[in-house]
Amino acid sequence: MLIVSFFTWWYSRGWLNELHGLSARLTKVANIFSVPILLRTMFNPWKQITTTSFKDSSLDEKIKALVDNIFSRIVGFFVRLIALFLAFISILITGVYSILRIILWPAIPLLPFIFTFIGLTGGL
Amino acid sequence: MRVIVDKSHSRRKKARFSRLLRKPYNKIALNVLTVVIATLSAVFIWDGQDLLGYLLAALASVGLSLLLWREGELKSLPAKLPAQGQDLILSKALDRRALGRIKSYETPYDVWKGIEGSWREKFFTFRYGIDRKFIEDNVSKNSADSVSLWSKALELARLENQESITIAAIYVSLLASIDGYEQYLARLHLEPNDLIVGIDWQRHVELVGEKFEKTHSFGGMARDWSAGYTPLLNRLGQNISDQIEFQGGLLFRDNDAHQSAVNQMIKIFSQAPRPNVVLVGPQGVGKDTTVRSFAYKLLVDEGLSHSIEYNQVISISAPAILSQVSDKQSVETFMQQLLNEISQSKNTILYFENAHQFFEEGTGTVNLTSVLYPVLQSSNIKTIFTMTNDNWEKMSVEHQDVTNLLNKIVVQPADKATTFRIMEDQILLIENQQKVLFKYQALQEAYRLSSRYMHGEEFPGKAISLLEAAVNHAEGNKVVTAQSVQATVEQTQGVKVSTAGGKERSKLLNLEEEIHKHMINQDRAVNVVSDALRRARSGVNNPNKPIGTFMFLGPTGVGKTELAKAIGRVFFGGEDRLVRVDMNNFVQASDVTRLLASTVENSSGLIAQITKQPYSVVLFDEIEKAHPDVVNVFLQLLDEGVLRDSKNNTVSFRDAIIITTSNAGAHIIREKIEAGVAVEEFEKDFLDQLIESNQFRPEFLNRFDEMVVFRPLTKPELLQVVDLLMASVNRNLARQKVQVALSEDARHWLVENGYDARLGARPLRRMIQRSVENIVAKKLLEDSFMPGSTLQLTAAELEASGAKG
Repeated sequence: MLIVSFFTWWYSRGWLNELHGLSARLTKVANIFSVPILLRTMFNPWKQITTTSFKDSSLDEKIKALVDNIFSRIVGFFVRLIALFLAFISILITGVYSILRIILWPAIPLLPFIFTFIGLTGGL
Repeated sequence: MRVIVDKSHSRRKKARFSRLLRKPYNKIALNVLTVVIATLSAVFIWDGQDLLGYLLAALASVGLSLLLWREGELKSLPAKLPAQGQDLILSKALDRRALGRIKSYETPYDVWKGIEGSWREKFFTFRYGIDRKFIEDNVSKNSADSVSLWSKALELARLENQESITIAAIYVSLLASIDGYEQYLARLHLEPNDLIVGIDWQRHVELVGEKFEKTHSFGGMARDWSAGYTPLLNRLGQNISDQIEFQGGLLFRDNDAHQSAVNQMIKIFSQAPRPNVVLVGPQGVGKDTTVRSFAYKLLVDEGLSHSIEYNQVISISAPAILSQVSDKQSVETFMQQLLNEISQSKNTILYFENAHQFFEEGTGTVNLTSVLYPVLQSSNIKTIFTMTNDNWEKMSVEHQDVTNLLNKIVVQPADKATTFRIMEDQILLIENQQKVLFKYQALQEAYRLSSRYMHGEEFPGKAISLLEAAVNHAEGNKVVTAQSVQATVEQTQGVKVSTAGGKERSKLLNLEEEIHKHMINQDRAVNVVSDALRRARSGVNNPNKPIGTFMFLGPTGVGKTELAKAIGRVFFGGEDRLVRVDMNNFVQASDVTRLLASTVENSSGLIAQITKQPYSVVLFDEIEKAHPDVVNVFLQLLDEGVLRDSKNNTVSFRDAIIITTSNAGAHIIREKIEAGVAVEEFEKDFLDQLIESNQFRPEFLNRFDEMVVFRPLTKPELLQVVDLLMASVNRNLARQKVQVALSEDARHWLVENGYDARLGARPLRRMIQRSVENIVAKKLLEDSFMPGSTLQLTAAELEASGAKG
């Protein structure tokens, strides 16, 4: 009776849970790398390191501030790009792992039978 | 409703199997064996021993399947409570843990044996001090009682909004099924409802544990990459958001009062033109907790405006700033740097705890209005201020321009149920830090006693402060009990709140005798006062009134003040426990202000003295001399046991015994007594006359518990007074190792010459001083009175001393 419960769950809700697990794992990895924030702030200055120019600043100062700020944004962009790349790799690995789990899931309860068969028949 | 026990139900089987797999040793064994066998199988296959290798792989696969099942379906097994009127199928409605533990449902006793020893059962056993033996010996072994047990458990589960019938609900239901359980709980100072509260409390403790098993990202690694550096602020301030992140979230449950304030804060910071908030409320109301709740929301809530999402709440204090720089100019420059940093960071909300410290000059405070006002006006940075009501009012007067710029949110004190929930949450933290365990009764006592004695603070803060302090009085096994809380209050407030025991109990039962060691006769007065004190210490008096309120009437020198002193000495532990107010000094209407002067205004006044030692005898001498406006002040005191001082603070007299004395009508008493009329015979008429004479207003006299007429002392009583006074003289002489004794004629001589009908026994003390003490002093100086000897004095010697003048 218990074994029936096991198989019933495994091939119904258990398998569905794996599908839900895929999205949960991907979301988690995306959050660890702050993907939504990275995308939203892609061109923001790095750590707000900026130079402020005023109306009465000289042209030199204004240009210097502009260059500084562009540089800060470029630095921010590249750091975020690297982070996004790492996030992408992690999401990819997690996705592959989760898909493999979903694919292999139906086979797991059968593995004892498969391995026993192989062992006894010297199969493969 | 029928109760159906379906033992063959698959959920029950799964629950029992889950329990088997989740037992700590089994859990570890399954994990380890699966890994070890899988490794071995790989080794054998690699080594060419295929048969053994694959058979081991098959075994490891079984382990893996079991592992995945255990962490999947068997971990939750959701229950379903029946709809109203439907049958209760236990296999469906019971919580997984209960279903896994209970083997037999035949009788309540079988059910008890099933849950006994579980963590959830231990929770009640230890938190509430319920003896397992009581349940073991009394729970029904009759199967007919099972239906009512399960009906009650279902009712409790529904009442506490539980999704299943938990072990806690079963436990409480089992206890409630025992005859006389209410009396048993009463012995533990508990009510049935206290255990029902425990069901939710226990669920919360479980949820806290589950919450910390999960990991939160709180925004992830790149959260603050677009925010500026704040080195100065990091050095001076406390990052509340970081603290929350470090501990993995908040440990306390939301409550309505805080939630409403937090929602208002989110709204203001998201939408309002001026991004600032001032939380106003009395001390202890939870302003800081509200800020923490808000900081937590900013870290975890989805859908917040990007302008506040993941903002950091950082608190700073005036002393922290003053520790860096000293002179005003430097402080302002320093603060300006700090504000620039915050403005640049873009993700910081600056939190000024006890914000009044930043708007006034003084020790540990600094007036930074000139720096903060422009910042508030420009709405450049987000700020949170917290202030007490008094400080807010003061600010509103002194810095109206600043307060006009602030968005005020009032934080209300928590009600009783909320305070209990907060205490239940907070003690988990204290227990974790201090390695102690709180009994539920300690929480009850903390609520009751803080409500009564801690007037400067509000709920829930004052109850929590008391619980924190009670840790120092934990019992030997590190358990904080109701007695620990009582001991804390007795030590900090100088009152008696614990049950009288041993010596004190015997003293209380023989109080009249003890008092009579210090004063002669006036039996009725001694009796009524003793009764009041016994009522107070046994807890049968009204806790919202003073211990006792008495008016002593009678001529001078008959023992009215002496009785007050004797009570101080015998009951309260010393004459220093007597707070004496001479009403001769309060004859003007304007004297009311002086009488009610706060502790700050007059450190030796009535308010200061009663605040310092609330457990006292308060003696208002010669009340008839006081101005009627002063007497009016006493109406509230006698009625409610409290006064409001000049600063409008409530000052409690509920642990004091109030005695007023008056000489009003003394001549009538004397005349009656001289005419041979007993006090009992004329007392009622005398009091009626007193009311009619308009000397005191009837509503004033009616507020006393007792009015007692003191009668002049008779000659034999005066001889006893002489003995008492001589005992006092000998106590003083004990240091010189000498004693003095009076002959019979000397005692009579003192009564004849020391007693004055108008002044009572009072001149006796002076006469003893002038005669006996003078003689002894001379003898000591002449060395004619050696240590260890007793000086016998006669009437002739006293006469010769010239004391009569």
